[in-house]
Amino acid sequence: MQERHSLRGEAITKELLRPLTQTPMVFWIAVIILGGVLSAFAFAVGWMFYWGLGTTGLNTPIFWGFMITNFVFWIGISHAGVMISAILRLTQAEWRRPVTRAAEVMTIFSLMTAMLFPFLHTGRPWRTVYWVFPYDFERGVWPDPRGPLVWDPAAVFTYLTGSTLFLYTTLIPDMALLRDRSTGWRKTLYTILALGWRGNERQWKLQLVAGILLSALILPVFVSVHSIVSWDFAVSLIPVWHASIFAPYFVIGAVHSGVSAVITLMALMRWLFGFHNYLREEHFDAIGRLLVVVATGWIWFFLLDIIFAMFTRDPRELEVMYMRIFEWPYAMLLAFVFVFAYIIPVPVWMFRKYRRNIKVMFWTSLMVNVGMWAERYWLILPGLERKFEFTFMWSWYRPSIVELTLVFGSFALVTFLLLMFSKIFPPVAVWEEKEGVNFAQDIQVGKRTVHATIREE
Amino acid sequence: MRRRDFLKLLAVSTTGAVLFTGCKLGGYAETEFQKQSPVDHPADIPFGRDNWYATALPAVGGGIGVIVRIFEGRAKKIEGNPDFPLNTGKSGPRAQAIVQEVYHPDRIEGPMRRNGGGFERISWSDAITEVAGLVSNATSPMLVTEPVSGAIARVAGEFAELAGAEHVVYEPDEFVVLRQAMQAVFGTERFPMLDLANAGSIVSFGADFLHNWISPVQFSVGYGEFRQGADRERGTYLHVSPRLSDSAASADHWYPNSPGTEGMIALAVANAMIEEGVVSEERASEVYSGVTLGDYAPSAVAEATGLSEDQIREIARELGQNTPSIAIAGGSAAAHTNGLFNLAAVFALNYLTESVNTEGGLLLNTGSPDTEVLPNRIGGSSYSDWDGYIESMIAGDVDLLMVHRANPAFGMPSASRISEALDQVSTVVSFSSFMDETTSQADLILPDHTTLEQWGLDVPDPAPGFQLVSVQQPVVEPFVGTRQFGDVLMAIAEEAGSSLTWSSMQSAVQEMGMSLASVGRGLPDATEEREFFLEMQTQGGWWDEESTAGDAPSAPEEMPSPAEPQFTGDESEYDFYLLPFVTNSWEYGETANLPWLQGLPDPITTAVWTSWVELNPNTADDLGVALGDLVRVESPSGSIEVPVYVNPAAPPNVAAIPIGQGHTGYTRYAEDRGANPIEIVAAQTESGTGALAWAATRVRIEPLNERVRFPRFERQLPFQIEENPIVKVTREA
Amino acid sequence: MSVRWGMVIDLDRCTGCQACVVACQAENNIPINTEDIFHQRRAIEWIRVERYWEGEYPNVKARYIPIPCMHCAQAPCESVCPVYATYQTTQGINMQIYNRCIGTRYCAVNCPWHVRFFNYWEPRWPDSLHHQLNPNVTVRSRGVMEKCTFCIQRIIRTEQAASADGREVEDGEFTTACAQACPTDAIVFGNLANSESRVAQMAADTDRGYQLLDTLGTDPAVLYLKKIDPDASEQAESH
Ligand SMILES: Nc1nc2c(c(=O)[nH]1)N[C@H]1C(S)=C(S)[C@@H](COP(=O)(O)OP(=O)(O)OC[C@H]3O[C@@H](n4cnc5c(=O)[nH]c(N)nc54)[C@H](O)[C@@H]3O)O[C@H]1N2
Ligand code: SF4
Ligand code: SF4
Ligand code: SF4
Ligand code: SF4
Ligand code: SF4
Repeated sequence: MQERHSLRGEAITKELLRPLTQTPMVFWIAVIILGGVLSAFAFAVGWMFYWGLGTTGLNTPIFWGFMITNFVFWIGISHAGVMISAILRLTQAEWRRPVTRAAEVMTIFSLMTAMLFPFLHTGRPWRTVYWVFPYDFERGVWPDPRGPLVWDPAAVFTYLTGSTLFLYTTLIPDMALLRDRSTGWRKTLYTILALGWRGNERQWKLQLVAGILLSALILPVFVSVHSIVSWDFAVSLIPVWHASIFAPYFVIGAVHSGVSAVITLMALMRWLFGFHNYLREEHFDAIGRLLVVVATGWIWFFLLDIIFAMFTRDPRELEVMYMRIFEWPYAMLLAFVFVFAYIIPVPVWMFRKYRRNIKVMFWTSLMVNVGMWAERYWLILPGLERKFEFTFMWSWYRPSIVELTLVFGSFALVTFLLLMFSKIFPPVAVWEEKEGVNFAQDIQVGKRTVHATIREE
Repeated sequence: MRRRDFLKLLAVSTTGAVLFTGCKLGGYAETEFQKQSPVDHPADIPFGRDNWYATALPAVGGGIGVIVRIFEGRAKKIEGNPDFPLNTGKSGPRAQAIVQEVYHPDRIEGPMRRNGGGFERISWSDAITEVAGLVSNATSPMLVTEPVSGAIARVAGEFAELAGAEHVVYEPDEFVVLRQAMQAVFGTERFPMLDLANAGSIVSFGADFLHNWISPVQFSVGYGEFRQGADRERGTYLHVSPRLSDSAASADHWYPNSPGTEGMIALAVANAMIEEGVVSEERASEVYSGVTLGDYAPSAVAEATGLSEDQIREIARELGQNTPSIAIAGGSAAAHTNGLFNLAAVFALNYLTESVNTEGGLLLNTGSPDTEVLPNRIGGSSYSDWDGYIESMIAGDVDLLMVHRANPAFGMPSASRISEALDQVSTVVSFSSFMDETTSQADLILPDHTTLEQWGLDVPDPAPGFQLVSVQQPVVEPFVGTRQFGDVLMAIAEEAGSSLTWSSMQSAVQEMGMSLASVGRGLPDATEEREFFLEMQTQGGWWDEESTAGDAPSAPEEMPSPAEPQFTGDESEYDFYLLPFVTNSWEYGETANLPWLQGLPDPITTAVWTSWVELNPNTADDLGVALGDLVRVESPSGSIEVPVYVNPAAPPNVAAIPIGQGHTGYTRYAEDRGANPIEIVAAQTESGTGALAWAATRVRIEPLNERVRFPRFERQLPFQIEENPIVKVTREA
Repeated sequence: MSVRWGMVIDLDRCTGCQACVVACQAENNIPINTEDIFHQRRAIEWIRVERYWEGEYPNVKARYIPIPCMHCAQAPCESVCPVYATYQTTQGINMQIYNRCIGTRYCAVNCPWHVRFFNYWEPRWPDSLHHQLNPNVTVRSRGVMEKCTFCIQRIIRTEQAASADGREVEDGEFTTACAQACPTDAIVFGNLANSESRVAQMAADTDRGYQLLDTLGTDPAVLYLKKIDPDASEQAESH
């Protein structure tokens, strides 16, 4: 069953490259708005660097707040890329084709944004070189590998490197395509990036193998990254943070929010670039089905985490859990997380009708991420507010305008980078689409006609 | 014997080498003891090393001895002087903060003359000439000082005599009552020493003796031993007061009483002691002559006092059986219309338990070794006397008022009209180092050195049960262009054509100090005068451990007759007792100018940089107020606005407000912070002494429906969780 | 002689006077805690006196406890610092290298005792108050973590003096600023590894000793002696 009329190669090329050449009004409006938010972001960063972290709402003992929450959130988003690309590529899920590029790019931009935050949130960012780079050979003072703050950058850098290579591998054929169709600075750029791609069989083979290899290699990294991010909390002594379930819990939460973000992005691309022929309802349908599974897995861990805390019967743990679940504002936040990240979207996704409704998918996926941001906050902050039995020091946290700006700015930053990317690189992989078309056959399975690609290998 | 060993132990425990100038530097004949400044003592500089110099803080903790760490001519750190018997190497929060006085950014940097609404700087010679002229022409000048003793008391006294000025001392009224109570009960004006280290129990009626009352450092040192000293049973401490004070929190039991009933409770305790056979009826009536003790059976007074019969008996049992025992009274107990009776009735209990001048009891002090050379601390005038002075000021009868280190404009209620009085005096000359309320009404300011820049000989009150004199020497050069009060008085006298006995405070102190050598006892034991003084300076003073008070009187000379407390403000209209209290950080307001102390959490409320009214949680609920809600506290003579602190230990009918904040000036750190409860105290006096009864006013509380951010150290939840409590307790170890 | 610096704090002696707090501020150049700083809940007190309430009026108790850094032998703050800015000295002190600290604040997050303090602002003193600063102690800039050092400058100074004389540091030869100021002698500082020292003997002799959060297994070098309260409940007794 084909859900679009057959397209020929040239039509695909033309349509998919259109965003590179045509700039609709809405693009400029978006650029102006995002530019505004980004200037505020830059100003907030400058302000914070100049005056110090006093400009935040952090205090003693709430030493971590919005910036760390945001870091965890963006790391989560970055899991979409690999989830969609690598896993689906390895399992040869055909519907992945139009989605992979956007997902991978989002991985990279959200990773970069995420990494900005630990750096920004240090007391003296200009000194952070030796946090990660053991530059000081003379005195033999190296970073301390015992703590997760060193594992973190290691994992994230590896993931970033891997994802970048992965993206690049899939970009090469398109670069060659663009090289052959452009002039001026673009031609120079694409020529360099195409790495002399000629499209001969050997090159295709290498590209295919590299893609598969990278997919396979990056999978463990993908699992490790959010596990390690979760250990920032889990290896500490803080009640409710100190939980062995955190790693898988964080990973699945990350997939939940990351894949939802891909839906949001797909919907936007469809509207912005008019890719109705590529980002089709069937794709939303497929991802929607996947999300039902992921979201349910996530809610299971979510509940397990609470149950495990009660299981310990440790008053310190229970104290925080109690606050989280029953006390203002965390009770409210919990309800919010539940409703936004599960109770509304999942039942909606159960219906094929809604899964194929782009608007519904757009809004539900957006809700999930609002909910998931809140979930990170809900996970991180209460532990700091009621740290052990020093009720004398129990404190609370209100983010300052600077932190709010930084968080909104991070969303603007990722969006802005994606927009810019779409001006230079095709947001949907042209060669993959063509490959899909070229190798596709409709095969009969029972009563259904299934659109499938059969490779000779 | 034991204390000396203790001293030795502490002596080695000070940081590194404790070097005292006196013996270290030789060959600078005239400046021998004086200078540590880089200018005069290059030897002090090039090594970048510190030195420790001994001096004293007459105004802190009853006059403790300290050593000060000096590094390149700057005072860095204060520690207790380990040799000095009063505080044996220990100090307190206020003593620690005194370095900030020296380097305070708002010190008055030199003499000033009023110029319209502000002040203009003038030279010292102009200032002195001007004051000399005023003194020569004044017909009825007045000299107001803090309670001075020793060298400065003599200098000021001689100056006052020469100038024909009346020397009036201003001090918090609580101590006026205490001095008279001491006189009535023990026949001495000197404050008592509490031999806590050897005591079995202590009952305090309102005296916050561990943090504020007369000699807190000394008492705290004893208290440590009292609780956990080696080779002794742990002492028991009971506290009776209408507010859970900082000290009361350390008590084994705190019994909240109805304000002003301390004396009545004491009589009931005496009654119970007779019942229990602790003391015979004859002896008791000898001590409480003129009082029918039989009328004060615990059962009869329990209700009026707010204590239960059992609690009264418990106090009697503790005092009577857990001997040696000590009973003291102070704070708000003194500040009622029956304050003198309250204090006297309580202190007299010590006779019943035979604790007067016995080991572990209440030790009487004899004061100065030679009052001719070094006068005892001069007590303050009562509020009634001040009323008289204020009358005459307002009538224009005082043409020159000279004020040194006294701030009546802050310490007296507005009902006293002190501010108006100061306006009416033709010239007010202030010698204050800081722009306090009184100084800001002055016409001329001749700023004094701060404590660490001064010379002085002080007779601490209370002494540690034997005679003691402390030496104050300048440990740093004056940081700004101030001059020492004594020196300025001498210069003024000279300018006015009649010089004082001494040419400078330094020579006065040296001369008086050296003449102590002729006392012929105590330490130092050098006989040569110069050597004697040098050693005295090095060890921080002179003392004679043998010079105890000897025989105590056998019974009070006169027992004030029992009286009920009277309150201003009708109960139906004013439903709370106003209870001003002295705080750990700001005392009576003197130290509110130091940022470390402003930022030091109040032990009970953890409040900082502000003032507040403490309300019982239920009362607060009834009023519909919570932490930080502004309320108007209104008495018959005025009102103030303060935020609420809901205090779980506040009695339901008491509104306690700290004294010490509410300055309208007194440097950037104190200005416009909180409110001063004394302002709204009614002009009602203690019946026997004429002292201000600052705890005898009733108030009403009116919520203002406005919430302010309440600055405090504790974050949000004022409780301790039951599982794994942070402070663990055990019954008896 | 092996050295492990430690403290015994007797809660039965402590009266909550906070002399220790001011003494530490004076000795260690701790920034002035302004009213705003308290509002922001960022006050720095290397040693603080906490007050806990128990019971209801009139049977209400207020209890004080001074809390400096515990100088844990297995310090959870140390292993999470990515740059070794906080580490354990050979004498059992949890030390802070201000120059090295980048201000991640993880150490403070992971210190269960709330005794690490972050410089959210550049500390400022009015010009004249600079003269009071202790030249032996670094003034910390904004963005770095700071904490009780057991008055390391006093330790070093005494050790140098002793080694110049060719002898060992004697017990009680010096003490920390908080212990020295404490009028009730509630704080005793010394070498726990020297069985002759006052702290070691107090720790060995007492049956009132307890450590804060001992179940975490960090081996604090600060031992508390329980407060004695004749009204203590059976339940409290069992703790
Ligand atoms: N024998 C010998 N002599 C030498 C040298 C050598 O190697 N051997 N080296 C030479 C060289 S290169 C130099 S640079 C000189 C150095 O000679 P100096 O400049 O004399 O150096 P220091 O003794 O290191 O420090 C001087 C003083 O400054 C104090 N100080 C520290 N911080 C402060 C501060 O903030 N304010 C103030 N006011 N004082 C502070 C220190 O405590 C110390 O007492 O010595 C020279 N002389
Ligand atoms: S008490 Fe806190 S700061 Fe001190 S060593 Fe232990 S974990 Fe580290
Ligand atoms: S704040 Fe400083 S000391 Fe603490 S973990 Fe970060 S770098 Fe280390
Ligand atoms: S100055 Fe301090 S921080 Fe820098 S290398 Fe030396 S010891 Fe380390
Ligand atoms: S040991 Fe020193 S640094 Fe630590 S709290 Fe005491 S005074 Fe402060
Ligand atoms: S100085 Fe001593 S008595 Fe005062 S609060 Fe500190 S530990 Fe307690």
